[in-house]
Amino acid sequence: MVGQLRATPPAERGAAHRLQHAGILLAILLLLATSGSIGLALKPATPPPIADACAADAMADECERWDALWQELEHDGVEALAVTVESPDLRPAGDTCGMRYRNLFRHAATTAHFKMRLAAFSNEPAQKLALLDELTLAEDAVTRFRAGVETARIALRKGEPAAALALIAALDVEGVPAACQADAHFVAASAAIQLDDLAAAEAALERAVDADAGFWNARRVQTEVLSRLLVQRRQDPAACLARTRRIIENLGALTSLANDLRQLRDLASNADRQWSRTNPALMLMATLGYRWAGDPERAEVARAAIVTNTGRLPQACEALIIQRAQAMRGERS
Amino acid sequence: MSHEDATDSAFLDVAANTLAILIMITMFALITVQRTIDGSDHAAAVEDPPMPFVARNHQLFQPFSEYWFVLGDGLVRWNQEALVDALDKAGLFSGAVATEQGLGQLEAAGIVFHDLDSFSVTFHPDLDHLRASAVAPEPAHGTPGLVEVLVQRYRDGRRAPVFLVYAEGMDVFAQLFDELNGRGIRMRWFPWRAEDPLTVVRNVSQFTLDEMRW
Repeated sequence: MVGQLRATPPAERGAAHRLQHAGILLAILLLLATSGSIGLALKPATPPPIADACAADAMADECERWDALWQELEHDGVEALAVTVESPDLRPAGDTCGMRYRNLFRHAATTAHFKMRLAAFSNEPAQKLALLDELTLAEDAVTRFRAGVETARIALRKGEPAAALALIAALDVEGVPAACQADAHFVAASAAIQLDDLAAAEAALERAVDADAGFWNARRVQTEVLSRLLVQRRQDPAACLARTRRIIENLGALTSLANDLRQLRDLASNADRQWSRTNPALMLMATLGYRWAGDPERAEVARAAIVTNTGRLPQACEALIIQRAQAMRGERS
Repeated sequence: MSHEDATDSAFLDVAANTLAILIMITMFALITVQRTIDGSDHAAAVEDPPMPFVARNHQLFQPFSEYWFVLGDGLVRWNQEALVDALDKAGLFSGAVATEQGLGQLEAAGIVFHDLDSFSVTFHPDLDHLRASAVAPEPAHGTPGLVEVLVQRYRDGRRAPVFLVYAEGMDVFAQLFDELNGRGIRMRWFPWRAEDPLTVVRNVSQFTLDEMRW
């Protein structure tokens, strides 16, 4: 019938309304999805407030250390993390304690020097080991230890990390200077890395750095291992914060050990490039590395990336990192 | 109400309920997805990092060097171990010792007392002897060529070649280099003057800068 409105029955009207409501809901949902706003729902919730981040017992101690670190940095700047060692002629890049420090082998016999030199000159592993063999039984503890470490180093150079680990485990450390013990820990860590056991490497590197704060390679490799652990998806929040703190301490220490700041900048740009600015902890490392290497522009770019890349770390850890990144906004040094 | 109207109403009810169920399923799916990526401390978080860490290759535990003299007629490997044996036999403070390939001398490196194994070895090669024993890199009948030998020695024993290339050996080396390049072995090469001795050292000055070392 032309010009006559058709009345809708009440039952049909109710169903139509329900359909309409459902349709509207679906439309809103689709709109959100297509506009990209659904990404908000997919992203993790906003990091918890700082007080909450440190509320868990497991986090409390680490939060204290984290705060102490930043207080030191605020008070003294990067100098707060400088390495102080007694030796005035420290060579941080030395591969062994004897290269980093002087006179550690003053009690070694002349023949021990002779055999060690020949072993170092030789390029045949079997011959090296034969020359070192009698030194691993030397009376002097430091000589004995040094020969043992060298044997493990040869195993690593041959590509036999498990053998290197066994040799290190058998070493007697009594009477051996801490700096030389650091060599053994470093070899163990390097072997663990070759075996893809990053947790063991992390522990060994911590021992190496604790034993010799001036050991450049231990600090550098530790930074790399911690970085690798930080990009792993499954980690404990306290471990995440401890690793980030260790990296910052290392970076600060490396500024005092580096011969020039290019070395530091290399570390920062490695962190910057290799993770495509997706991990807040590593971007914090890049931020500080660039800052301390005197590149505030790049530091600011890295800092800005910290707050826009959430969800890559445990929430409590991430919240604390973001808090520091936000606090650094506008700072130049 | 007609039968047709009742059918329409029932259809609309079914459609509305289906849509509602779809919405609920979507919401549950979204919540589930959110949970799986909710922070890396979650038990279901992805374990493998999406971006592997690749450090710059500071070689801390270097391969073993294997020195090769590159001369006009071919190459000859430095019998370094023969010199080690000769020095060992001669003992401390022996001065220069002779091997078939030349004269070598071991000295303590530097005045400052550093590592136990700091040393400096200077070797004066006997070039006439080396020329007489040089072998062309091409494979002899039924034997693998030098390229294959070098690749195998690197893979099996981490022995990385170091070529000391004399002016007369540059053509030989150019061809060898092309063949070795891209074979996945580490190698170094240095142009070498006939009058220059070969000096191998381990001393503290190598660690004054954090330089890339072999």
